[in-house]
Parts: sequence; structure tokens; C-alpha cells
Amino acid sequence: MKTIRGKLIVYFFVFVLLFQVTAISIFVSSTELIDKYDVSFQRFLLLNSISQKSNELYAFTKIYVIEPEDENALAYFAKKMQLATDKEKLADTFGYIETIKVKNYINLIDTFMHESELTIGFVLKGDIEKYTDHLEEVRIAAGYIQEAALELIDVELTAYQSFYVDLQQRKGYFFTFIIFLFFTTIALAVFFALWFANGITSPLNKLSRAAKEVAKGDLIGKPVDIQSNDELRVLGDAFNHMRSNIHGLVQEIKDQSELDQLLKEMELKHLQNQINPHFLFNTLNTISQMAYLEDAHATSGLIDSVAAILRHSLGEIDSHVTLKDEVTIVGDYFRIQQTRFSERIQFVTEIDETCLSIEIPRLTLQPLVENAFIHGIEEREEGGVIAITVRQTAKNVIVEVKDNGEGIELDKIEDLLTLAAVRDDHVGHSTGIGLTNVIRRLQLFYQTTYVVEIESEKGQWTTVRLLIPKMIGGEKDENCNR
Amino acid sequence: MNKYSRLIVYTLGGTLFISSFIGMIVYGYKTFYIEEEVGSSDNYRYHFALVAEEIDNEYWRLIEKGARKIAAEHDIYLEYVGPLKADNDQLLKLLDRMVSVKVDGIITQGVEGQRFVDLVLKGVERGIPIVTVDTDVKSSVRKVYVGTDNFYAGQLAGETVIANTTGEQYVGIVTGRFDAINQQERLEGFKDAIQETERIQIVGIRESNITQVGAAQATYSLLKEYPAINVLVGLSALDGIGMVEGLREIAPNKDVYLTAFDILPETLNLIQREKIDATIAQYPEKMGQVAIEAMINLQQSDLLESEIFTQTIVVEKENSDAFLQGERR
Repeated sequence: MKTIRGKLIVYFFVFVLLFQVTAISIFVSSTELIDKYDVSFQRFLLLNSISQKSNELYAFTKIYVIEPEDENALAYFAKKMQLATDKEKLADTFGYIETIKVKNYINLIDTFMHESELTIGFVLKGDIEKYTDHLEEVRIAAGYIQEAALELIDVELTAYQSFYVDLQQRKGYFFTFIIFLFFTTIALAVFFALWFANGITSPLNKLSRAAKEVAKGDLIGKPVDIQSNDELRVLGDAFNHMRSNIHGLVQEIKDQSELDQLLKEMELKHLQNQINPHFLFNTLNTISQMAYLEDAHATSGLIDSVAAILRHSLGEIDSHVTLKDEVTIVGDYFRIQQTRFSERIQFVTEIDETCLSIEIPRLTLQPLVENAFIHGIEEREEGGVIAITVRQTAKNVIVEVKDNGEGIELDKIEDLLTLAAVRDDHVGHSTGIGLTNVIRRLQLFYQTTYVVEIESEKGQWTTVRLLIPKMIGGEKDENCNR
Repeated sequence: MNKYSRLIVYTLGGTLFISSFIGMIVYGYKTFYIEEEVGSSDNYRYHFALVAEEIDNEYWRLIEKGARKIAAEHDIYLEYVGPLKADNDQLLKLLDRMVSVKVDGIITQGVEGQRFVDLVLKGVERGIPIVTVDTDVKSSVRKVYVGTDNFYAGQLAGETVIANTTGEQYVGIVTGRFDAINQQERLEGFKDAIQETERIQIVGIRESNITQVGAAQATYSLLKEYPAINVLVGLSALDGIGMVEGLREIAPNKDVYLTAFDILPETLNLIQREKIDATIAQYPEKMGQVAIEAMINLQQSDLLESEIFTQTIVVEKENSDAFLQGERR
């Protein structure tokens, strides 16, 4: 039953068995009935044969009495032997039916043969009186044999009559049997056909329906459920497996392409920004040196910072840098902003130095800080604080950017984290990279959505927290512990 | 709706299948199953033959009944044969055949004549014991006679007539058959009983051929020939009933004293209705029983006695009730 072929074999076997049993039954019963008939007929033949022979034996006895010659004696004895042989057959032929009647019959034959022997004996002795008496006895006994035979035939015929009636009845039963057999086989055939067809077509229907869905591009439909236990189930399972695989691959491709698109976008912006950055960069260096030579050390430092940020942002966007580099850039950015806003803002850093070697995507931390600056505290008259904390847990390196600015509304946070409004305007960003871009890049880079936490209280403070896993793809980043 | 109709279709289909399958099995069995021929393995100790005067005679059937009872007890196969109509030649032929068939013993009615004597001799010579019932032939070498003392039974009838009548009595006798020894003996007995009584004389004797119609005809012709008859004596079983019939035909109002023989239910009935005055009761069942018992003993050794008489009594209205009940039983 494990395969369709097995099922088919079982179905056919049931039918073949049914017909075989019927055929064998017909054969066996008809053979037995014919045997019965045959036995009955044999009995008739035997009785007839004995009657004839006893008559002939009487005739031979009479001939011998009239002409006592050796030739006639031989004929007599030959006939007597034949009769004795037939008599022996009686018991076998009749078995134990009508034992008394058959016994009587056999005894009659015995008496008959005995009397005929006596007759022959007295003829040999020449005792005329006795042999005529015994010849008469022989004649009478022969008559009795005929009568007894007729009675036996009568009994036999009576039995035969009931046999015949039985045959007629069986004929009627046979007809009814055939009708029932007909209905049984039809019902069985319909049942098997429906069952078998259902067993094949319903899984096939399910499969084809699912295949159509797949063709339409729906890869996340319900898995195909096939109840049968044959090849179709294997087919269904394989289909389900294949579909979920395709779904995973398509998802991967989509993610990949999105990442590529984001990167391309950034690269495009980057190129736009590259119109004359080298010139600018070189000029800034020259200005810095000039300022230094003119003893304007503060100005020189400031210009250096600007140059550092510029250089950092000019680097390949999809390359990784260490967290240390990112922190350094943020330091440069702070210095510039500090110079610009002096007492209005304050930067606080609290950094676990052991974690700075971990690699992160370029330009992730600076946009966060800038974001905190622009949306958090730029508007404030004074007392703005931006704090950066780098610490670690067992699994993650945690980078927190905290400001005491406006705060972000809760639904906005949701939108940011789920990337609902992808295209927000990033006003005033120096690198042109917004918060959403950072979050998305981090998610794609680390292949997890849980990489950024944002907490905020309206009008009080905002914390953006990056959870950078120490392990990427199962490979532990050793640098962190060094 | 779809679910319901589907359920109905399934149920109908299932019912059709199951019923036709069961039908197929049942009729297949009936068509193809052949019972083994169960021949009764007749293994009897002895095989006796009872040769009756007439095969379907009620009286002989009673003898058979008694014989069968004992035979069944002793595991004996009893073959009951007899002529379809009472016929001595037929009976003798059957007797001869039973001898040829070599049964273990023959119980037969005695038949007058040398041929019966010869056949009994032939049988006994071949080692087959022969017992006579109902009627004896003393001249034969039969081992034993079992039955009524017929002479005594005749005497009983005569004495009954003497005791119940007064004045001149003209007796008409209906006998079963003239050539039946038992009838002859009964007649002898009757004659012997009335010999001394001069007021009673027999005026006529007729044969009924042991049939009811025969008895009626005999009665009719007797009364026609001898209108003076005022006593009718029947000597075989059906004579009483036939005599009542015949009397009704010819002289319905005449007061005739009627004695019959045997206690067939109809006879007893007529006694109750006072149509018959008395009957001589024999015990045929007892005869059958005793005959088989004697035959069983004969298989081992000869018996000492050559006659075993069964009881004979007169039944009149007063004591007929017991017999009627006995019959019913």
C-alpha cells in the first residue's frame, strides 16, 4: 500500500480473488454433483449387470442340467465368477447407504449361487429328484434377485428424485447468487474506482492549485497537505519544501537588492559631494597650515577637524571601519560644533576603550550624533547636552547617543524603527545621511532588525542605542576583548 | 445540503454493497455447499423379519408396534413385510424370500398348508429360527407360537353368548377367512362352548375376507338367508364394525346380540354406544413384544415351551372405559 502500484495490485487482487473463489466453488460443487450422479448411475449399471448375470447363470445351470458337459460347466463357472465379482463391488458402490437392503440383496445372491452350486453338485451325483428341486430354488432365487434389484432401484430413484429437486433448487440459488455477485462487484468496482481516483486526483488538485499560486508569485500560501501515503505525498512534501526555499531565496534577493540600492544612492550622493572635495580638502589643509603659521592655533585645529570629517566621509561608503575611527570622527564633529555654539552645548563621552576595535559600517555614529544635534538641541538657547556612551555586555557592544532635547514622539519612533517613512528629509546633515538610513544599513549589515533602540520623553531627552553584536554570522569578533 | 446528500449516497452505497455481499455469501453457500452423505451406519445386532398377514392392517400394525419397541431396546433391525391385501400365496412368497435373504430370525403368521410347513423346515434347516404369531401351525417345526389361545378365545365368545342370552338363539357367524387357522380354531372353540347348550345353534357361517365391507356383506347375506338370526358372532378384528353396518342395512330395528373380536377403537366405540354387546380382547402389542423377546432368546438356544399364550378377556360396556383410555395412551 506504500505505492500507487501496490494499491493497484491490491485492488486487482481483490477482484481476481473474488472471481477465483467463485470459479473454484463452481468447479468443486459441479464436480461433486457429477460424482454423485455418476455414483448413482454406477449403482444402476451394477444392479442391472447383476440381474442379467443372475438370469444368465440360471440359464447356464439349466443348460448344464440338460447337457452335463464340461464345456457347459466351464461356461457356468465363468459366469459365476463374474457374478461373484459384481457382488464384491456392491458393498463399495453402495457404501453404507441402505445397508439392510443391500445386505439382503447380497445374501440373496449368496443363496442363489449356493443353490446353483447345489444343483450342479446333484447333477454330478445324478440325483434327479434333488437337482430338480434345487433348480427350482435357483429359479425362485433369481426372481427374488430381480425383485430386490427393482426395490433398490426404487430407493435409488427416490434418492435421485430428491437429488434432482436439490439440483433445481441450486439452479435457482445460483441465479440469485450471480445477481448478488453482479451487484457486489459493481459496488466494489465503483468504490475502488472512486477511492483510487480520489486518492490520486485530490492531491493532484491541491498541488496544481498551489502551483498556480506560485506561478502568480504567492509563495507564502498554506502548505499543501496530502493525506495519502504514496508517492503523491512525497511529491507534496517536496513541493512544500521547494516553495519555502524559493520564498527564502526571493526574500534574500530582495534584501540584497535593497541594500545595493541604498548603497548606490549613497554612492551617488557621495559622488555629487565629490565634485571638488579633493580640492577643498587640500585647500583646508593649506588653510590650516597657514593659520598655524599665523599662530591661530584654534583656527588651525578647527580646520583640521573639518578636514578629518571630510576625509572620513570621502572614504568608500560600503567599507567598514573600527568603532574607534567613528568615535574619533564624532570627536572632530564635536569640536567644530563646540566652537560654533560654545557654551550653549556640552558634549560628554564615556567610552570603554576595550571595545573600540569592533568593526561597524562607516558613517553610523556621526549621523546619529548629528541627528541628536539637529533635532535635539540646536533649537535650545543653552544647556544642551549630548552624551556618548560605549559599553559592552556579553553579546553586544552598546553605543548610546543621548541628548536632552525635544524628544521624539512615540509613533515617530515606531515609524523610524520599522522604517515606515523611509524618505524623511534630512535637513542640514553634513553627510546627507539620515537616521533611517543608518538604521536600515545596520539592520541589513547585521541581518537582524533588533539593532537599534530609541527611547525618548517628549521635551526631556532622547536616547538612541545601537546594539552591535560581537559576533557576526557566528564568528566571534576577537578584537573586542583584546 | 451537499454534505447531507453525500452522506445519503454513501449510506445507500454501503447498504447496497453490504446487503449484496451478504446475499452473495448466503446464496453462494446454498449453491455450492454439498453436504456429506450421512448414511446411517446401520450396525444392528440382529436382523429380524416380521411377516404380517396384511401390511396395513391395524391389528398387525399393533403387533409391529410392540415388536419395534422391544427391537429398539435391543438394537435389532426389524423388517416389517406383508402382502398389500391378505393373500396366503403372497405371504408364503415373502416368507421364502426372507429365508433366502438369510435374516437372523422370522416372525410370521401361520398359514395352513404343506407349503408353509416346507418353508418353515427350509428356514430352520438353514439356521433361521421361525416364530409364529397370531396364528399357529402346530404341524410345522416353528420354534414357538406367540399369541392368543384361539381355541380358548372362541370358547370365551361362546360362554359370553350363553351367559347373556335366554331362550332359543340362532347364531350367525362372520369369520375372517375360512383358510386361516386362527379363525378355524376360534370357530372350534365357539362350537365347543355351545355344544352342551341346546337352545343355541349355529345357522350360518360367512367369510369377511378380513375387511369391513366384507363383514357387512356377510352379515347382510346371513340375515337375508336366515331372518331368524338373533346372535351375531364376529371372529376377526373388523367383523364387529362390519356386522353393525350390515345389520343397519337389513334390519335396523332388530335386537341382535353381537360379539366381536379385538379392541380396535371403533369397536370399543360401538360397545360404548351399545351397538356391540361384547368383544374378545387380544393383546397384539404384547404379542409383538413377546415374539421379539422369544426370538432374541432363540438366537442363543432353543426354548423349552412351544407355545406362549398372551391374555384374552371379554370386554363389555362396563369394562370398556379402561380399554378406550388404554388406546388413547
